Order: sequence, then structure tokens, then C-alpha cells
Amino acid sequence: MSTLGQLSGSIAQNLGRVDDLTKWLIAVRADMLGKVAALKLSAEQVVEAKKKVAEFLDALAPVLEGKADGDNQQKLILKRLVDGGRQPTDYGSDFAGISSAMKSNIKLTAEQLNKVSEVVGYLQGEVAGEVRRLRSR
Amino acid sequence: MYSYQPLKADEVKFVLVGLHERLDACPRGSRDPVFMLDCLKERVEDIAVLYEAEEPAFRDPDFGLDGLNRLGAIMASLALIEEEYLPAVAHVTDEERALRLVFLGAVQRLGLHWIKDLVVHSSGNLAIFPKFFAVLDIPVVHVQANFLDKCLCLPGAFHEFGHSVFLKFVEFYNAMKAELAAHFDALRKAIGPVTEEQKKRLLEDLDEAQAYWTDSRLAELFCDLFAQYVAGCANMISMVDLSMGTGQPACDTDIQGYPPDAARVKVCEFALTPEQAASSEVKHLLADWERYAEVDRADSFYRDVCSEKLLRRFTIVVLELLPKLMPQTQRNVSLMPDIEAVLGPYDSLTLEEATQRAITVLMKRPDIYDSWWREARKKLA
Repeated sequence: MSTLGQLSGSIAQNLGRVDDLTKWLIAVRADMLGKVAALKLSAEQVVEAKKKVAEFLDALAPVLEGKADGDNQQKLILKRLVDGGRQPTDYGSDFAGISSAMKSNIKLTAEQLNKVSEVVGYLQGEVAGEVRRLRSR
Repeated sequence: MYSYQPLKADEVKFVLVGLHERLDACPRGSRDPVFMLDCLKERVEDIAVLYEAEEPAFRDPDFGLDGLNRLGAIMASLALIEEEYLPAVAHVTDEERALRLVFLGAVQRLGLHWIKDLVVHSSGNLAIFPKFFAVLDIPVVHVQANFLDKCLCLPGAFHEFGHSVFLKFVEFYNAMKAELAAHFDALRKAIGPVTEEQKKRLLEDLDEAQAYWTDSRLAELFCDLFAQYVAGCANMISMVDLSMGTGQPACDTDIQGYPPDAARVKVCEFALTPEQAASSEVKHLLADWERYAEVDRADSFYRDVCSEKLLRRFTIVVLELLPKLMPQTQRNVSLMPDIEAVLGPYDSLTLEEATQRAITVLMKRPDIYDSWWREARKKLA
């Protein structure tokens, strides 16, 4: 018997979330860059992507600010920020602001969006690691 | 000028095409997992469509880390198919084909109706990959080489099916978590008059013991109970084999992702009916195991995390929930079959019957086991 059953459940959950987040971020970035047409994205898709990324940030910000426990993925982001010598509280307050901007359709800066991409990158790296573990189980 | 991102984008495109071709080349006979192959191909095609739409972003440096993250996510999705599924569907042996049909019959009879297809891969370990992205309907079941030669391991297949059940019904996890919390809350409340320092230490110990029960360990314990529920005495004997056959200390609490073997054997013992527990086969083998396991000599951490009271709570809650959530799944409350009945004529054998009968013949007529099993396995349905 092996822990493959549990690994499978974890990969399914994490990969699904990362797949969605990376897709939405491409749409949000395209909107910021004025390149929505090049990716053949509709206005509705961009609105939906902003809404979903804002929801992700709304749930993450309190965890980074030490106001909530968070799920495993949010805890991972917190750990990676701490390990990397970043200030999680700064990211938390930035994310709250970025989420508000997205909901109000205020144009984001590249620097703001890069911070979101950075933490989504942590999740992407984690799920890639889980898939690699399939080879070495 | 060269840059990494378009280079990676080209590689991903190449991988997509290659994977599609490899899936196309898989055998599609009547005993092959055609439904699964169609699902895998559909997934690869969906990824290819998305890739094509997003490709300009991968080749535009303004998208920066977002392009890289997206390519990473696509590669992880493709790797899941390449690493887990492709080896299982590309080169299927006759035994794997036969086992696939046997397992498909078993999961349907056991009430795992959400499983639409499965593939068996003789990769060396008994295991299951139950969840493909968001769906549970096309698992890969891993078995040891020549799995059917190892009759004491046969009930392990039911443990693996249990992983799919555990993921399907979150109620099992929630109920086990609630029992865990209630058990340790009661212990916290029962702390008698001690100094503040002693109390702090006791509370820390209880927190540590409760935290020991990770989601993975709860899942494994559930799967043991599921196998016990459907395979009765045969599973009990298989659990004794699991503990004694590996030479691992029964009360070892350091196994990553698993409870100690002793706890796993104990919950199965608690799930026996009184008649099953009193049967000579089970009684004697459990006595052997008790001498081997030396649970009485386990350290205090084992006693904290695997107290009989807690293990009984887990057992009771799972046994209560199983008939409610899976009413079609029959509980095995029978004794090991009578040897005369086993040796009588029959047209076909289910996995559930074969498990009981093979262990019975191995126990009671080892002299004819080889010839009996050679015939019996041909009748597996």
C-alpha cells in the first residue's frame, strides 16, 4: 500500500486551483497590458477573471496578516514568504488593496500584479513538486 | 537573442503533440480501458486548445511570470497523464487486462458506481491513484507483480478502493475528525488537580497526540475499515499479514502518512462481529499477532495516540456511516467458508468470493492450494 491515494487527492485539489489561477492571471495581465484582443478574450472573461483573483486575494490577505489560520495552500504561501525574507503582513495589506482595485475596475500596476504572480508561482511550484513525487514514490 | 519562455513554450507544444500520439497508439481492444483513453485524450485536447489561445502570452515578455506559471501548470497537467496514466495504458499485460475486469466488477458490486473505468498497473506496490483532476471515475490501481499469486494481499484491493470512497464522501473524514476532537477534548477536561506547569505539559502532550492524526493517517485507517467491512475475516487475516509480514515494529508511530500497524489491526479487530471474532481461524491468528505486536509494551506516545478508546470511536463511527452513505455495499458478516463448500463445483468467482476461498484453501488444504488456485483464477469474473 502506498500514500498514492492521498497524493492523488492533493494533486487534484492543488492542480485545479493552480490551473484556474494561472489562467485568470493571464487574463488580468492581458487587460492591464491592453492585449486582450491578442488572446481573443471576451470582456466577460476578463471581468470573471478579476472577480476570481480578487476572491483568492480576499481569502489570502487575512492569513498573511496573521488574522486567520488559512488552508494548506495559504499556509504554504505564508511559509514561502517568510522563508524568502519577505514581510507577509506587507503582502497581506497590498493584496487587500489589489483586490479592492480589481473589484472597482481600477487599473493595476505591473508591480502590483507581479506580487500576485509571485505567490501563485509558489503554488505552481508546489504542485509541480507533487507531480514529480509520482515518479519517485 | 534567446530567452527561456518561448523555448519552454515550444517544448510544451511538442510534449502535447507527442502525448496525443502516444494515447492514440494505445491498444483499444474489448478488454482495454477505452473509456479511460477517451477521457485522457479529451483532457489533452482541451489543454491543447487552451495552449493555442494563450500562446501569444507565452511568447510575449510583458506577461513575465504569468506566462511561466501558466506553462508550469500545463506541464504539471501533462506530466500527470504521462507519469501516472500512460505507463498503465500503453503496455497492458494479460494479467492486468484480466484484473481490470475483475476489479471493475468488484467496484460495481461494492457500490462505487462513480467509477466508470479503471486500469491495473503492476508497478510493484498495492496502491491507487483515485482522482484524475476533479473526477474520481477513472482510477489507476497499482498492484504487485503477479498479484493473484499473493492471496493474503487480495483484500488489500478493497483497502485501495476505500481511498476512492473516502474522497467521494467527505462525511467520513468529518466524522472521524469530530470523534478525534471529542476524544481529546474529553481528556483535556479530565485533567485532575495538578500544578499549572504539569497541566501545561499534559495539554501539550494531548495537542501533539491529536495532531498526530493527519488527514493521511485518518484516510488509511478508514480504508482499513472499509476493507474490513467488505471482506470480513479474510481482511482480518490480511491485516495480520500486513503487520507481521513486513517485520516492522507494530507500534511504530514514525511511519510517514500511516498509523502504526497495531492501530490498523486493532480497528479491524474491533469491526469483527462477535461470531467472526470467536472463529478459530481469526482467534488463532490474532493470538499470534498479539504475541508479535507486544502492544502492552508500546511507549507512552503510542498509548496516547492509539488508545483503544479512540480506535473504537473511529471504528464505530465508520461502521455507522457506511450503510447510510453506501447502502448498496454489503457488509461481510460471515465466517470463513467451509472447506468442503469451497472445494465444490462453481461456474465463476467474484473477487470477494475468491478472497475468502483462496485464504481458506491456503489455511486448510495447503497441499492442494496450487492446483485449486490455478483452476479458480480462471473463473474469476
